[in-house]
Amino acid sequence: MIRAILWAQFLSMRLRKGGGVRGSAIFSAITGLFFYVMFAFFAWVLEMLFSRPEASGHFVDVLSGVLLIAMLYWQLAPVITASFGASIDLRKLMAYPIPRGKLFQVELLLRAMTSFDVVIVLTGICTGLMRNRLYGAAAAPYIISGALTFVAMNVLLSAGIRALLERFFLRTRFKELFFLILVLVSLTPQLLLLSNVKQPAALLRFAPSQAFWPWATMARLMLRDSPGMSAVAAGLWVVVAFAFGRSQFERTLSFDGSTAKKREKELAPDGLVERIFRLPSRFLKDPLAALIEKELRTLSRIARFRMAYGMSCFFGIILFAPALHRQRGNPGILQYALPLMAVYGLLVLGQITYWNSFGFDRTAAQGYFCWPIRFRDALIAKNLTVMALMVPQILLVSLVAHAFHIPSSPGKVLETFAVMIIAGLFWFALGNIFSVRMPRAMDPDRMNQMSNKLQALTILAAPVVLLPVVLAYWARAVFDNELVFVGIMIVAAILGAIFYKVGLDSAVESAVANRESMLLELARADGPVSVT
Amino acid sequence: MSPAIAVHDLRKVYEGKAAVDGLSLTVPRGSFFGFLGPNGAGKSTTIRMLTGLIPPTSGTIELLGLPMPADETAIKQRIGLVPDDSLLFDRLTGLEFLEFVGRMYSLPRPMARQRAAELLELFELADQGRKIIAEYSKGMRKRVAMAASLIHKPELFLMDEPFEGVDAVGARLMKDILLDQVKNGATIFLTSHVLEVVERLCDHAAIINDGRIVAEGSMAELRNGSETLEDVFVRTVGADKAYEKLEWLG
Repeated sequence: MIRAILWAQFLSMRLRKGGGVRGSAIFSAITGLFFYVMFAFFAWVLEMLFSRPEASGHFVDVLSGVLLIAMLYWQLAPVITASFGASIDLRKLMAYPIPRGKLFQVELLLRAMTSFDVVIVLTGICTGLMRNRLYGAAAAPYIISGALTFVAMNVLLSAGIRALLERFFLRTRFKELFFLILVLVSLTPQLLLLSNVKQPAALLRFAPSQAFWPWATMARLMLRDSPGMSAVAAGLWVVVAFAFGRSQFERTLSFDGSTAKKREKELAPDGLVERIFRLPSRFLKDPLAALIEKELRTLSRIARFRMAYGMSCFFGIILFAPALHRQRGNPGILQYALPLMAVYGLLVLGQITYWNSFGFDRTAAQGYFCWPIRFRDALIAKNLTVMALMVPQILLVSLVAHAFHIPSSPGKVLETFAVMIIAGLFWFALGNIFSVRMPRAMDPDRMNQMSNKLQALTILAAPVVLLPVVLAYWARAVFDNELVFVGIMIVAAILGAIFYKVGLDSAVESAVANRESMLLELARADGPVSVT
Repeated sequence: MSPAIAVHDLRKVYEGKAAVDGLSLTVPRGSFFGFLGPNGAGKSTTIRMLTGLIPPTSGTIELLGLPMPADETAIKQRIGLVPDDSLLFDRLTGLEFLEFVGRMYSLPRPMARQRAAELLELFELADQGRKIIAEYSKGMRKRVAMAASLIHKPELFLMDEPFEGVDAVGARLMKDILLDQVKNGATIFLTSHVLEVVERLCDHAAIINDGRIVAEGSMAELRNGSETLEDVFVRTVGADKAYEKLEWLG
């Protein structure tokens, strides 16, 4: 039965003919390879570290820390990026007489498959420990069983978290509540770091290497540190994870999403929000104004977008605040803070906007080819919408930055806008090409779509794409001259405009030539398993 | 006057197999034209080529006397569409969507808004107009789609299964509106699986099978005396009782 489900999924994933789809597959293969090479590198570094007997005195702390990071990556990365990879689509499979236990097994299999990168890292650690003469092959049963219990616990936990979030996301009010909790939880360590905690020793009682934490227990089992006690504790954690995962999965099976979902209230015709939606008409003519207005209305009613937008406003601060706090006495570094956080926000929004512009339109994207408008206008409108969304985002980031004593003068805000526009020109140019060549239908009510790997890759590639802007900042630092900075920024803007024009022309040409495969991809329904 | 639709030797080939194979068709202006065929016969492919959603492999298309795709924008301005796949933005309300479509056809915003409200009234959706389309039933979605196709008062309607999923009351309402449009000089080209609907509404029809037209003419010509449209359809398309071969199903 499990084989039949996976086979049906394989059949539904078969590539359709068409250059765009093949291109998408090749790109996915390249990004996948890039990531696995990156994780193989981490594995190699850890293998070297754990194979050194002279470092073994710190192994408990180091391995506990590494396993904590691995667990956070495994459990939190999909939550933050709202992308859980492949997952079983119960709505399709519930109609068949499949035992619930089998469905749970398929879900576990998919959860394990989507975290292959962590397994690579664990393999490096295990190999290193087995090569270490203080442990050696004799310790292999402990090392492997510790690693396997870690994998088992994480697979079970992620199945539970996914099921829990799936239900949360079907309850409209919970989506925002969940996001608020996530922001607060994420902010806690940063706030602790930024505030002058008088007695940090108190916090050490909760250090990651303390034996009661699951990752520390499993690290100790791998290192043969109180093996009996560690094995029992690790086993208990797996049982807890199983109970959580299975119960959450069962609750999702019995969950009636259609009745739990809050009925959308009738929308007020003339409220403040409505006036904001109509703003584009004050500055632009139809069809651009109408298209931007439609984008704003649509995105504002998608909880997943609201979450990403909130993250684009706050997560820059969360990520960069500790590093900036350490640079308090260095105004040279702090001057980059605001543009850096704003550009990060633009990147966060990318996955559900400009990298896949037609994802939420799905089959309705055919309208851009049926109505008497230029397809070019649809793309420009989508780009302008993201740019318009950046205005309140930058102002909000500036206010938050000000609260954290990060320089955010009006001049700095203007500079941030300039950086944002130039960055936007480059990214939108690439995003437009991706949107028409590799479109993917996105369900606003689900969160297991689009690859977080793609987003991470764009973040890694950002310095290359932003080279002209980086060059401007470098020149300002070297020559200590604002005119040089402004001059290079103007050149960067001109380059960006040319790049955008070329990208837009290419995207339009590709969309018109391949509209059939593009629309087919946007109309595509998932198989029994929904895949990123 | 040039016909509403003139298609000559139209072909669409996928991986060496013709979905539409040398189709030639003329739809007179002011006619209510039914385009029939079994599943996979090439109806939707044909209508998608007419709307410009997919390019033909070969052949020519003229709509309202203008060649496709040379005069694509001018043609699109004068046609109304109800495609098979949803052309609705789920996160807009019915009212917002209709206004948006009106603006896509260059109607000024106030006029688009007014017509949107009137169309919702006409399609008995006025009380649902401020709810997002994602909450609409299938029948309501079809009604909104048809309302959107009317907002710019087109001369030619291209409709793919417009009555699918619509209840009897809704279907009746939609049929009355379409008949009014034809009376006012518009041309309607629709595909439907419901032969009774085509028989009752259409004055002309064509039957397509395996990408080729197998019968075409006025309704009287097609029925050829005492036959019903269903008889004609089964005779021309050929119905095979394959299930009789499955003993276990007997």
